[in-house]
Order: sequence, then structure tokens, then C-alpha cells
Amino acid sequence: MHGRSRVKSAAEVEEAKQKERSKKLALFQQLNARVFAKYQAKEYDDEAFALTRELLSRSPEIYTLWNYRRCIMLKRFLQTDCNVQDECKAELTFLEGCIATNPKCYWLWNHRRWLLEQAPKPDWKNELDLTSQFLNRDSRNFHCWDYRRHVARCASVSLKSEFEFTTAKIEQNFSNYSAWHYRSKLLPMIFADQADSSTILESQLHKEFDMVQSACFTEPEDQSAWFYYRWLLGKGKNVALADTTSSKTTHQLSPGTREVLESELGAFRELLELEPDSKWAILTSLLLMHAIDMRAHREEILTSLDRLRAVDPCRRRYYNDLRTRLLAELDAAAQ
Amino acid sequence: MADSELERPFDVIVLGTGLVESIVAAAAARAGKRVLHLDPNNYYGGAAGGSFTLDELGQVLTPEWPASKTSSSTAAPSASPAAGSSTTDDKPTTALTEAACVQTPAENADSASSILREPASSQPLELERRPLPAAADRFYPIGNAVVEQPLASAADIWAPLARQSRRFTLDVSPRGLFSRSRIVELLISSNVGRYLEFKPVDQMCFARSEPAGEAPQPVPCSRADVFSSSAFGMLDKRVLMKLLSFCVALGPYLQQPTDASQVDPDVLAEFTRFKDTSLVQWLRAERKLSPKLLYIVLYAIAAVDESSTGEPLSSRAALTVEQGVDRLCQYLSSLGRYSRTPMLWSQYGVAELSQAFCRLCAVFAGTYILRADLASMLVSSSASPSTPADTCATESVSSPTFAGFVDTEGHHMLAPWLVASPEHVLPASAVARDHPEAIVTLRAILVTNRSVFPAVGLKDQAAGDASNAATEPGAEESSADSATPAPAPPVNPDARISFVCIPPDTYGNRHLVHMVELGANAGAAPAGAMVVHLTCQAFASQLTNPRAAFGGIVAHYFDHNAPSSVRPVVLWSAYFDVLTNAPAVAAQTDTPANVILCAPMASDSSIQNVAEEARAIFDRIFPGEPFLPAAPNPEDITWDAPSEATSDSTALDSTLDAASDAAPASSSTDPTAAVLASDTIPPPSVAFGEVAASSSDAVSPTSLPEPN
Repeated sequence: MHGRSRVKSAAEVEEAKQKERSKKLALFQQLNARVFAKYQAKEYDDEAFALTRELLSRSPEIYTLWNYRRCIMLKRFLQTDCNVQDECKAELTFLEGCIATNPKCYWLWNHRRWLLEQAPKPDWKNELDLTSQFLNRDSRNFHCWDYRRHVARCASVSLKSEFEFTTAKIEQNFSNYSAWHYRSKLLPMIFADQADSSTILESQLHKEFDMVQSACFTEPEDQSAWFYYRWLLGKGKNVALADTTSSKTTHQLSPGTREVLESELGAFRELLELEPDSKWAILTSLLLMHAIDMRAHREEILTSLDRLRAVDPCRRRYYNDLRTRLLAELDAAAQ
Repeated sequence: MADSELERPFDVIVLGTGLVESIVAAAAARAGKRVLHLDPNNYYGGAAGGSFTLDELGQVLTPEWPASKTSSSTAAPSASPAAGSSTTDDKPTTALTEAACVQTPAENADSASSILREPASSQPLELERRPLPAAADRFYPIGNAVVEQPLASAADIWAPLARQSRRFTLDVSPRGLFSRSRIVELLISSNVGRYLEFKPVDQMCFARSEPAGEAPQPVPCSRADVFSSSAFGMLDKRVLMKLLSFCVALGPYLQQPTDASQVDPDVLAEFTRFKDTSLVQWLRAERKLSPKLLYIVLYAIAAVDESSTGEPLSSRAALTVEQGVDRLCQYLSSLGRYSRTPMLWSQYGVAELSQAFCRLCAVFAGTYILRADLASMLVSSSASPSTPADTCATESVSSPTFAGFVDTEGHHMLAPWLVASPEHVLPASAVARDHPEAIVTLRAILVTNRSVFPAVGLKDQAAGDASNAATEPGAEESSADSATPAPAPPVNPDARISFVCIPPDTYGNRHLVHMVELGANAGAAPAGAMVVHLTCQAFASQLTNPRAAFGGIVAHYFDHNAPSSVRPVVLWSAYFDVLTNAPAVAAQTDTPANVILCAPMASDSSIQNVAEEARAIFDRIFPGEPFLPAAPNPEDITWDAPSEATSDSTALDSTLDAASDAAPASSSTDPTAAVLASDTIPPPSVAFGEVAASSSDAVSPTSLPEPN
């Protein structure tokens, strides 16, 4: 053995860290004081521009400074020698770095949106690619989804390609409320039934059922898929399932729809054999029975409600309420 | 310096650079032991574990000593006819016993039966010289090799590729590493990993005979895969997910069976109830896997070599639930650690792993002699009060004890322990290839012109989909809408590293076959060529013709004709087998107690047990010593004591034993040791201390020349 390991003691490491931290803090405080002094004095000069950048790149959460910065920028735009496009472009690049480190900061996305409104020639295509990139890193960042919807609108991207984008994201990880939500927004726009615009083409509806059922079977505990499923049920022709509060449930199901619902119910019964305690499977099959033929399934609906209260005691009052309502409906129907 | 270094007794001599041997050598050197690592070959890894260029492979498969090849497959029955017949208790005689029986002293070490008494009269110990089997008579793990040159129609493509022999890296035993396995943990914890480069395997697939003409399908194992797979129905998805979560829940318990607190009691109850029953039965009856799903789980994930009815094919007993769940856990826990797939592929061949451990050994002052020319083994047959019996008290005291080696020039190298690859010490006659329990790994290496996977459709990419279509070309129409895009970026199939599991009876193969297709990412072949490895295990007595074993698979995927054909063309191929596990090797009763023979290569397409094996050997030799603690970074080493010569002598003294007591005798009778050091061996790695002292980068040169 020719040498031995040199190991810094924990105290030494901690001390070095502490030193680093206090140095950073001092710098930050100094910057902060200067920027706010200028802000109070309403100075919109280059120095303020540089200082806000310095400070915001460290801490993007100070939204006052973003406002200040926008004021400075508007002043700069008015200068005769200012190339607004270049100015915006530089700012966008700056923002990109900020977003990369703080992808969930509201003010950053807000500032970006404002910048693209200011830019004489906004590059929406680039923005769309950027959101794709950020969503690759974190597919569930709703800020980014929100911004993407805005961009897609402004860039007039084809709805179909956005729809496919949500498919891709859901396939990567279907526990994604944002992706399912976007899908639910796009679906009626792309596949609206010609006859009744509030419903969706049956062929597409069946595909959606398949997809979401796949998710439910893969992971019955994941509620994002079940939420989408429930929304889908409400989009079928004559199936007023989404809104169980309405007592005016129509029962003229078309034979095709009835068939689909029956097969869905059959599938969930199979799932319940494997997962008897799956709350979402019980609830959804209950709603299906309600939609298909409430009276024929009366007993089963009531036992399902008992089962729900047992497996999901936290929401027992909700189930009690549902029970009262359904019973009233049943009574009304019986008369 | 080198002379005196060689003359001083070592703590352990390691003979052969197989992976287990190399890990033991590294661990011993790391623990401050004096290690001498010898290898008669001029490459790392041993014949069965080496990585070779195209030209080298030809030499390894059909070595210059053709006798050894034929003798390894045919000599055994003739040497001991009884072993060839059905009697299993007959142990073939070994050269060591032969040598011990024949008492005619001969001056010439070449004579196969000479025993020389150690001339040093002052020695209290009597050391016999037992000649090692001559190269031609030595056990050689590779047999039945056939190398096929391309047909005339493909010769035009082949000629320029053949000229780039050195651009090929062909593994005799190609093996991937599970991302979360003991060997990977060891590479990380010991810092040996920094000498190595790995590529993630790009796809794990399985083949099925129907639908006909289908390309291998991706193995669904992550949640996203299960969700988007069109390979099976909704219920199967749930059943599979349940099985996978069962395994995941059991994972911590399997790692640490003493601590059951972290495991769901229901999971544990089911596991303890079924763990000794058959895996296939459990999956079918208890876990309710449909035939389709069973096929995937059994073959593609657990890699079980059993027929679908649960009949074991290359082992005597069916896989138990415990073993099966362990394999599933291994697979699942490896997902997502480095990539979407569970496997890593060592770039530049598996022999790199051996070499990396050798490098660590050399960094910690292990001494290396490659192309070692050993003549005989020194054996002390007298009972000695201070044999290394402390550590192996169970061994009979009167059994002969290994003391060291003498090379062809008469230099003595002494150590109380020997860790050796069987191929360097056993004669061919010691290994019964036709023993009913002997297992061979059947191998084929093909060089082809392109991938068996179809190219990615360009329009899929244009649509912005990273395409599943690449791996699911036969998928139904409906999947085009609901299940096309996959997270993986589109990759040229000719670049990918693909593992394909071909279950028994798929293409006329009796056994589970692992196919590894190495594209440009693996760097195993020059541009324009791909390397395909086919591997399966079989009882040597049942199936010994690799050409026939893989015939159906090769005919299914490849053509031997003109390159215009639809399927990839085989440009060059080699078929051979590697003796993987011959019970006779393990049952060497005459092997001295302080000689540890390493098991031959594990043959499945992963390296799972080497770390444990090496650790067991290390613990036996150096009980209580830390096993491969992390090597410090060069910049973290402080240099304060220049007196390294004496620093470890006390540690040495305590481990010295009878055999090393012979050291003074050998050094006095061998004044030529210096010549050996400077002549026949590359600069010894004793120089390592200096290299490290100059505080250069972690990569210090090993003294072993690179095989070229």
C-alpha cells in the first residue's frame, strides 16, 4: 500500500458549504437592494435591465421584477435604434435557460407568452418544439401543457397532430391528467358527430374506450384514466352518465351503444374478479348498470354501493348521497 | 526489483484470466495481498471467455494444437472407458494422480510422468514437481468447431470485410449484464466500472412461430409497455401487471431474506407457500396466465429453458417459483436504471471485464505474467503442521498441498494458494464431456449484412412518431391509431443491439435460444456488417452438433444466397460448443486442498453469478478481509510514506505457511529468476506503484500486452 485515502471530515465539508452559502446570500441581498431601489425610483435604464436579469436568473419567483422588466423592455422597444425582434429573441433565449432550471414557475411561462405577443415575427413552430422538449423531460408539467395549448392555437397546428401528440404522451405514461384533458378537449373538435355536435363519432368513441380500458386494466388504481373514462361515457349518444346529478336519465339507448356499454360492463366485471377491491372498477360498473338499465340492476347497484362504502370509507358520505339519489330515481321510475 | 519480487512468496497465485479469476486477483491485491497472476494465453478471459478479432477467433476455435481439440471431445472415453458408459460414479483419472503414481524420476520436465525432488537439501519440506499437462493434452473447453466461408455469391461483400479482421470483436461467450445485478454493483462499488464502457441494449424481443414471417416482438415489461402492447388482451394486461407487482413487492425480501418487515404479508405468504413448487405450474394454475402470456413471461423474461409443459431441457429439475421469481425480479429491477431495457452490453467484448479487474489488481501491485510458460506444479505431499489448514480444516491433512509453479526455465513461484482455470491445469482426460450431467453451450457466430429487424418506415417518422412500428411491423391495423408512437427515438435497426429470445420449438430448436444481434452501436463489426450470436445450453450427451441445433433458426432469419434476397445474408459463420459444466471437474478429489478451480463460464446470455463465485473464493482464502472496497480516486491518495518495501511484510508473515517457507530454498536455487522477469515476460506490473505515485490518471497501464 503506497498511499492512503484522503477524506475530508464532515465538519470540513459542512464548513465549506456554509461559507459558499453565506457568500451567495450576501451577493443576492446586495443585488436585491439595488434593484428595488431603482424600481422605486422608476429608473428604466440599461443598468436596471441588466440587474433584473441577474437577479431573476437566480430567483425567478419575484414576479414584481418580471413586471418591472416588462416595463423596461417596453421603454427599450420605443427607442429608435431598437430591433424589437432581436430584443425579443435574446429575451426568449434567456428565458429558455430559466425555464430549464425552474420548469414550474408561473412567471416564466407568463413572461414567455407576453414576449411572443410583442415579437413582430413570433416563431411558433420553435415554441411548439420547445414544449415537446420540456414535456419529454417531464410529461406531467401542466404549465407546459397549458402553454402548448396556447401555442398550438396561435400556430394553428393541426388538431389531429396535437391529438397524436397526446396519444404518444399517454403511451409513455398514462398517469397524466394534462394529456387526458387535452385529449378530451381535442376529441369533440376532431371527431364530432355530424348529426349531434355534442357527441362523438361512435367509431372513434370505441377506439377511445379501448385505449382507456387498457389503462384501467393495466393500473386500476390510477384515477386519471378512470376520470377520462367517465368523461367519455358522457360523450356517447344518449348516455347521460357524466352527470349523475341529473335525475332525467334518458333510457332510449341505441342498440349499438347499448351493446358497447354491455361489453364494457362485462369487461369490468372480469376486472372485478381479479381486483374485487378496486374502487374505480366498482364505481364505473355501477354507473354503467345505471345507464344500461337501472331497474334491472337494482340489487346489484345497491350492493355495489355497500361495497364502495367498505373499500373507500373516506368517501362514504358521497356514496350515501349517491344511494339516496339513485333510490329516489328508482322510485320515480317505478311509478 | 522484479527478481526479488518474484522470488518472495506470494499470498496467492491466480492462473488464468477468466472473469472469476480476475475478480479474485483484484480483490486480493486490493486487500494488500501479494498476487501473482499468470496466464499461458496471450489474451484475457480464457478461451471460453475471450473476445477476439476475426482472425484470432479462427485460431481459438481451431487451435494450432489440433490434438487438443480432438482429444477434448474424444479422448475422455478412451482414457477411461468406464466414464463413457452409463456408470456415473467412475471418476476419470487426472494427470495429477497419474503423475503421483508413476515413480520414475526423469530429469526432463517435458516427460509427462516426471517427479523431481526439490534439490534444496536444507529444506524441511519435500516438494514434488508434478508436470502440467502439455498444451496438446490439456483440457480445452471449445470443441466441434466449424468455420464456414461465404458462398461465392456473397464473396464480393465479404472480401472487404474480411480484410478488416481487427474491427471485429467476437465473443466466445457473449453475455449482457443486468443493470441491477451483483456484477454491476461490484463494478460500481469497487470503482472498476471506470475502466469500462457499456452500451444499453436497445431492445429485448421474443420470437414466436405465428404469425409466420413476423419480426421479433418487443417484450412488454414496463407499465407503459403493458399499456400499449397489442400482443395480448385486457385481462392479460391485468394478470401480467399483478405478477410484475408481486415480483416488485418481493424484491427487497429476496435481496435480504432476513428482513420480512418490508414485504406485504399476503405476498410473502403466497411466496413461502409456493416457492419450492414448479414455476410453470404456479404461473398457470395460481397466477392464471393465459398461454400467450405464459409464453412471454416464461421465455422472454425469466429465460426458462423448459418446454411449455414444464419439462426441463437443460437441467435435471424444473425451475422452482423461488428461482423463477428471482429471475423476474432481476429483470424488472434492472429496467430503467440505465435505459428502458434491463441489459447492458460491454463494449469491445466481455473480455474487457476481465481486463478491467486485472487492471485494478495491477494498480494495487499485483504481478502479471502473460504467456506464462509453466512446466510443473510444486506439490508438498508431506503432512505439515502449518499447512493453510486454518482456513480449510475440513481437508485431510495428509492430502498433497500446492506450493507453487516452476516455469520451463526452472524459476520458482511460490504461494500457499492457487486459484486456477481448469483449462490450464487439467488434462483433457480429466474432463468427461459425455458425462450425463455435462452441459455444453452450443454457439453460432454469424456475420450478416443487415438486421433481421425491418427498417423503420420513413412516413412513421414524418408523422412525428417515434416508431413502435420498427419493432411491430406485423401489428394489426387498429394499432396504427391507438398504439403507434413509443417513447424511444427512431433508430436505424442496423445500429441497434437487440436481444431476441427464441423459445423452444419455435423454429425447430429444441432448446431456448438467445439471439444477440450486434449493430453499429456495439462496435462489434466494421460498417456494413452485423454480428449475430446464437447461444443455447444442452446436455452434452444429448445434443452436440451446433450446426444442427441452430439450423432452423438460421434458415428462418437468414439466407446464404445472393444479397438481393429479402432476408439478411450470412456472410461468414462459425459453429462450436463450449463445455460449460462438467461434473468431473468439480469432483477432482485429487486436487490439492489449497487449489481452487473456478467453475467454467456461466453460459446464459448474462453474467450473474461471477461476483458471488469470486467472493466465495476470496472469503475462503482471506476470511474476514474486505472484498473489493472502492478504489480511491487518484487525486484522493496522499503520499506520505516512501518505505513501501517493508510496509506489508508483517501482513505477509501472518499468512505465510508451509509452502511459502520454501521460498528461501527456491530463491537460492534459482539465481536466474531475474532473467525470467526480463526475458519472457512483459515488464512486470510492480511498476504500478510508480505509475500511481506520479498521480497520473486512474488508468494505469497493465503490464499485459493487448491482444492484437
